[in-house]
Amino acid sequence: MFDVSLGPDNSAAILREMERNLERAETESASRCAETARRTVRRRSGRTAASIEAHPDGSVTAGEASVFLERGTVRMPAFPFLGPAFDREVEPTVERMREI
Amino acid sequence: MKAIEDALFALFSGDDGTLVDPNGTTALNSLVGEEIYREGSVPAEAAFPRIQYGPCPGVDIFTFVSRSYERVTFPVKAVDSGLSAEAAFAIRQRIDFLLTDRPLELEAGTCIYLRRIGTFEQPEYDGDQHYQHVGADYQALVA
Repeated sequence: MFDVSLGPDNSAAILREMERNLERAETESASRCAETARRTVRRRSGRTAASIEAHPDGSVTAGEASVFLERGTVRMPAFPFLGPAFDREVEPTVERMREI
Repeated sequence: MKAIEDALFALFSGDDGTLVDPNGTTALNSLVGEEIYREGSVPAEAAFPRIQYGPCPGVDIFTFVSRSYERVTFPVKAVDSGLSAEAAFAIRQRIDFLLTDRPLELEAGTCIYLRRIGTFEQPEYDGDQHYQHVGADYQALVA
């Protein structure tokens, strides 16, 4: 007979495993988002593309001219890349979370 | 998505105050006149304040059988010159009234959802020139 109830003996281990899987899913989502952003960002010097980074906490950052590219200026139209990259990762991220 | 862009232009350019906002926002034809442009199509002689919208990229959502709908996220912003963003804020408020839970009339497809998902404000300094970008991101579902 198998007892698979969630009790004080195994709940901590299960929660730790869930946390690890969650972190893995977040990191993977951030990496894919950053990858898409690097591929689609408008390039001249390549500095903005090189500044795009995925972080272990699931965030993606971009430096250099990223805000001007994303939102545009009076002299330059917007060339969004972070927003669309994030949008593309929403469904795959939800699927990864479902598997935890 | 071209259908969304065309619908936005038609909505904004046709806003003559017929739709009355209980919060008292002013019609866009009084605020910006004909200064309504798709991002990337703004002529050098365009006046301020003005509205710039788009681009409108989408993400396809498929079921087992076919594409159920497309999720389109797009920015709409007011751009004004000077140190004050008051006019730009008034424009954004009116745009928000026009686009909240009021699905667009599209030439292709059916807009089944439209709401704002976030705002942004970005001052710009170009030498001694100051500009105000005040806008918001919207999300539409098009079946």
